[in-house]
Amino acid sequence: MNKKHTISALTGLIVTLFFIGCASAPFPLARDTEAFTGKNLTAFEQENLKSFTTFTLSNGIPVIIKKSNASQVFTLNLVLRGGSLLASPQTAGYEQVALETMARGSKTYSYEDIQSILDETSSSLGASSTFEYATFSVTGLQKYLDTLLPLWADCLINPSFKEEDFTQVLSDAQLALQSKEQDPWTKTAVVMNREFFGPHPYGNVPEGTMESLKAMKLQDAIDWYGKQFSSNRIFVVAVGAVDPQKLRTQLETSIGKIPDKKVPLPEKAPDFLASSRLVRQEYPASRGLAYLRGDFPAPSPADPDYMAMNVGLKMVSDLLFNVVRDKYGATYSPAAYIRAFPANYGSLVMFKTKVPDKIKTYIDEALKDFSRGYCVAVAADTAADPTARIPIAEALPTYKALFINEYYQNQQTNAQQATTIISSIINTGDYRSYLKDMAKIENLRADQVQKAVSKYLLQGTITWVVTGSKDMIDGVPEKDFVNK
Amino acid sequence: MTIQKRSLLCLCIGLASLLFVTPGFSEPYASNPVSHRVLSNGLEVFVTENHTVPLATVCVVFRGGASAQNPENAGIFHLYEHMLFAGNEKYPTQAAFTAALNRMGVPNWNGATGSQYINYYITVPSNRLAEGIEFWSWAVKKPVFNEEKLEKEKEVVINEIRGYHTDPDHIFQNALQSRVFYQFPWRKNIDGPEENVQKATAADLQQMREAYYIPKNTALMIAGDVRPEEAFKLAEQWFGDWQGGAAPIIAEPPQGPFPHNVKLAYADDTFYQGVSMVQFFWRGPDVLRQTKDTYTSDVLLFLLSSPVGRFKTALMEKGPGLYDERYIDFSYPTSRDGGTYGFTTYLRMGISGAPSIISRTETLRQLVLEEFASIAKDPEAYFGKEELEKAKTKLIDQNLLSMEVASSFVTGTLTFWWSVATTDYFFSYEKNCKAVSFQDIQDLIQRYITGVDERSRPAVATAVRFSTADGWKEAGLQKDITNFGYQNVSPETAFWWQQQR
Repeated sequence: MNKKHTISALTGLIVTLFFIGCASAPFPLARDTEAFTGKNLTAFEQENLKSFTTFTLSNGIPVIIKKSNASQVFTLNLVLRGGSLLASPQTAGYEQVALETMARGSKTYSYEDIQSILDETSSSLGASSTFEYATFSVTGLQKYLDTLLPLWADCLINPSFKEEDFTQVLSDAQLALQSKEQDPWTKTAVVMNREFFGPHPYGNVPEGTMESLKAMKLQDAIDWYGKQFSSNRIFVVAVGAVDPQKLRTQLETSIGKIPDKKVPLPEKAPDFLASSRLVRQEYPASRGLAYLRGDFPAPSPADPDYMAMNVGLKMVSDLLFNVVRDKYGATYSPAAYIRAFPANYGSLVMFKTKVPDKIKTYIDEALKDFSRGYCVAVAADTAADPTARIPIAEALPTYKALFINEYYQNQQTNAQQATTIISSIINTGDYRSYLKDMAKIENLRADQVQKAVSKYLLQGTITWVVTGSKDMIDGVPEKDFVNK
Repeated sequence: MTIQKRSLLCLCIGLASLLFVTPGFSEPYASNPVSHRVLSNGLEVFVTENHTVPLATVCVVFRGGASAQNPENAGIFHLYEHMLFAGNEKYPTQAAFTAALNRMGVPNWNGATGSQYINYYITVPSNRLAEGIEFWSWAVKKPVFNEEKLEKEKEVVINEIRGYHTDPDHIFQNALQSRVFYQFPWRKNIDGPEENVQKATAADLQQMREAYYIPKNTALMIAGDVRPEEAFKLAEQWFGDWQGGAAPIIAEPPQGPFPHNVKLAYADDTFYQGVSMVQFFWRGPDVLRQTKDTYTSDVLLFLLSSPVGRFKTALMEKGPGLYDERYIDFSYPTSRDGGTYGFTTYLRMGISGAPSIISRTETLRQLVLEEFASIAKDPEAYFGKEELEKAKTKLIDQNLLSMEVASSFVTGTLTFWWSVATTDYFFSYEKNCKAVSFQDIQDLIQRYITGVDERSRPAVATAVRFSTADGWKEAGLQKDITNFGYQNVSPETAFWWQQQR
């Protein structure tokens, strides 16, 4: 055995002994002990739990591995908690730019090496930032894991932060912001975020602003890495046909070295302070057409109203489709939905309308049915009549089934599964909590659904943005949208 | 954002390619679990197993869409797509149709009209597969075109297409396509003029149904948590009695060669400041007419794809202010008619003392042609044998990746290949790509891009897009537009029907 092998064997032994020593420590991202004990588990939950392996690296980074043999793709995600909550208006976007710069070069891998490997393996490496967290991920075919993991890890622990890489990333980020101005629908979202978030921490948008990015320098990215890239912000989620023990050793010897800089983690984001108003955004290119979106505060995934609201808004969406599109032909695509953030919000959307002046009347007609406790008919003998309505309680089993199927649909790729696990941790602190969603849906009652929609949407405070050519938006009557 | 996906500027590239082919580029995977049968009425049935989640997708695909249009019915395939959801003999109204979807627990349903196909799909819980297949059988075999509903749906469609007609990306691409495919421009635009939609009647839709919505022009694709034998049995049960005439002839006669000297400049208020987009297009092979060339083209794409490969590196070094190697894109969306090679990149604006964007575009086109000429001179020396094998491996890996989600595999990849090409083409694709040689690549480039000499050089179309704020600051731009023979693009003259009025 040569010296190199001896050292490697010793390292392996130390790592193994360390793991044995830590075996009894509770896993920090599995908080809800009662709900996941034997008697409280459904067959679905039990089956899923078997596919998980969890452990904590020596620097405190929790790792969750979900073994999935269903596809030949793996995904490996380093997650940094904080997102917009750790940013300010001045530093919005810095984290995303720094992470993207890290993806362009490291001590061992030059930019050319990285591009060449990614191209040859048809893989992707990159960063994504949201209001609550950022990820640095690699996704590719299983057969390339041993090639891609060292690359991913070296970018994380030995980033080169070259000036030319930073300049390119910053330019890309600025152009990405510009691209949102080029489409009336993305422009609507930009205006809505500005108006709805206001001084809320989510207003420090993860992609940054023109002002914040214009002021950013390479040293800011380096400083961010030096101060903010800390093991106490990090956890790792991997999904695929990976060997947990092998991955554990690989992670321990790489990102297990990331130091704990004890970055203070933010408290839960405050709720939104919405106001009822209509914002008109002129978009001259959209001649003869308008886009409408209304945002409102909504329950977070940890709130008991969350599932009720999700199912209720499916019913509302069908009512909107039935009335606004089917009856009046007044829009191309109507919808109502909520998101899944700890400080949550929902949207009511009319994507493309040439009658923005009349559309609120049609929306109200649809919402009125729901407020009376009715939704569109689902039974074969009544549904042929477009005006037929049935009580929410009668339709509820159908909508529950629909929602459960949607749940499955969002679990089809390993990357989707990883995102669900990450969201579960961010929202509840427990990687397993999403497994309880099925039971929560099954247990919903009609009164809970009606009450939630009434509270957050029908009685809620909605900020509206209408975007379009001047002739379109000028004619939109404010009184239809604003509650005085 | 990921490095490989190039999502930053992909909006423009993405929308550009949308007009050529809706689902984007990907190919079948030879060892995938796709089973295939043809029913006695000519309906082709494909079944793909993937047991990741307890869901099954049922997709019906018809050959047609823009490529089958004429000036009078342009846009009506799209209207028909909407009306298929509006009612049939079993589910007489859109409300009944939607309610049936809800009763089945359908989390995902939609339809799409592309330049070469129309497809409709639903995803059902796998234990309701039989209902899902029956559901589509009614929609396909027994649609009802209610006059009152048709008038309402026209308004919905106009809401939709008015968005396209005012979208600068759409305007730019239509301006180009209506000029390079000047003989049959309506075969490249899905949405058509608003007037065509306004004047459409139920009789027009019925006529379209009889010609295109028939078993010999249709594929039924079933994917997900399904068993092939059961799926084939259900297909026979619900579609076996469906009758119709002979498969329609689509896209004949073929689009001709590009005219020489198509050069367009689009000063756009909404475009990025700091960069301009430059595109070159050549008439490429059509899949049923120059079949072998399409395999060679796909291998060539993968040879050129690396951001740090020789092709892109050379252009970055020699090119007049290219933005970034990741935004150099060479594309070939396989097409039944009007196959096109596209080169897209971005040039930096505001470079002190630099020639105008038009002048730099002229220089860049020459450089691109020279680089292709270098490849054609000796492809093996240019790339090396190892790169050819790597390109073929990448192609197969892309196929593996496309298989991850059963629903998107059938609604995207399989829909695309079946409608654009043929079943045989799909199943033999990988084998034929593996057989591509450097000699094939040399021949291809000489025939379609460089010519063997200056006199035989095929026409190349050029399109430049820049922000109004950036562009007019450049000294001499307007003069260069005139001197180099560029035509200004405007929303009033971009679409084929505007030019014919």
